[in-house]
Amino acid sequence: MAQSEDGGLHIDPMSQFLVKPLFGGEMGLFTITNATLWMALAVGASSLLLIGAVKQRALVPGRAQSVAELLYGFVRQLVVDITGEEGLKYFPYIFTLFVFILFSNLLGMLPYSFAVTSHIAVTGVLALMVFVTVTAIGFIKHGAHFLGFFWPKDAPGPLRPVLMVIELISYFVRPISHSIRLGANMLAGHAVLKVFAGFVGALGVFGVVPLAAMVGLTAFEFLVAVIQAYVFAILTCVYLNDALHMH
Amino acid sequence: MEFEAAAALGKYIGAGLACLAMAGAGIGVGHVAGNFLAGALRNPAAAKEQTATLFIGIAFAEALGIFGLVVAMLLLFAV
Amino acid sequence: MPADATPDEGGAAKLEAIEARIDALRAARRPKRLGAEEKVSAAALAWRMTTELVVGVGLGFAIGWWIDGAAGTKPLFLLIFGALGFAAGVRTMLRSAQEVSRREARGAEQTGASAPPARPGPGASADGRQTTRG
Repeated sequence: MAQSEDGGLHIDPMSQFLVKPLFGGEMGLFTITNATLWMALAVGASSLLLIGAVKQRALVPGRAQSVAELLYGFVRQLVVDITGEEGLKYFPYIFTLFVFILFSNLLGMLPYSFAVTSHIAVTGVLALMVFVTVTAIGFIKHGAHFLGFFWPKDAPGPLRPVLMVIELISYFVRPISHSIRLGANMLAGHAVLKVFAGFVGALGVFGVVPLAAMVGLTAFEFLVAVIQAYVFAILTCVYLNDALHMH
Repeated sequence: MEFEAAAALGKYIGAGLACLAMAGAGIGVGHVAGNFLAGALRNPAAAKEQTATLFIGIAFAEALGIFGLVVAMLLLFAV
Repeated sequence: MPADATPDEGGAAKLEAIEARIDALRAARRPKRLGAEEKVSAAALAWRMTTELVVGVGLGFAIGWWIDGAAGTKPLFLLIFGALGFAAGVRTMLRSAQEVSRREARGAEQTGASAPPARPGPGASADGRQTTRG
């Protein structure tokens, strides 16, 4: 952990991200690790909120049901705002992504928990799924016309192939930046918290100062956890809008 | 042996130097944001439309700092 | 109220009135919330554009590195694709800036029309779509 017995400066911010098998044994393809556990917990918690709390279908919602309804309405408004009515068909997918990321981020803020979304492997797969889905939707909706997305019609002739390569690269930039943004934000936040925790142990009485900073940082990290889920959902909508309407 | 030690030393010094890029990025971002604020206080009505331009400037300045960070990371972990 | 109690006509009208009141209250509250939201999303936007630029350059260099490794022409394609990647990063960044300023313009349009509908109806959102696509 971050502080050693003798109170000396001993900071190890990265060990919290280690993926370990939960029940010992070799690490294989289907080993149950702490990452698996916390992902399952995120799914379980979101199911509890979105299925369990809404089950009564009360006309006047209770507290849990209002939270679930608020979440639903918020994401639905987001989808309508950015992609228009046509995008509503894909609302369940975006809502699922948003809720999963939100719950993984927030569960990662619990002490001794494991921040699943700080792993680029997790966010990379999420972004890749979005990328493949959106590209497939584009091709299904527009057929071969979707390739016109990469062919700049209003550019002078000889420049077009160069611009096409640029457009192609910039299309592939999107899933990468999509995943890196979420992963790097969570990674950096948790590492910074650990570094400050190390200072608290090292400074003795004066550790109150970094402790106070940590309280503020923790609040900020909660903000980041929500904002990053929101940004992920927004950008999914934006990419979807590009595929649906092609401009 | 001696040579390896010197190479490691150079690696770490280089990584530290590469992080100086962040100083430049900080200066750049400060310039962009400060000048934007100065302009926005003179003409607040026009400020709203220029926020996108502001972010382009900030993103450019900040990206250069991140390139420095990438070079430092490469020196530390890849060279 | 139990779920199976179907509201009669008067109850439905009452519900509608309550709904309208909730909408009005929400609309009255909305501007205040937008201010904080805007500031946060501004920071998120700056960060987003930065990553897009950096990833563009990185991706360009990676492609160039890969082609060089396959073809054995060490620095040539690395440089070419580095430049192309930079251009792609700038292109992506400018596109997201454009999209945001478009959305902002649409937002200004909506708040400019004195009393905006609390929930933009199909007509309002159709207008918005046109400005976005144009």
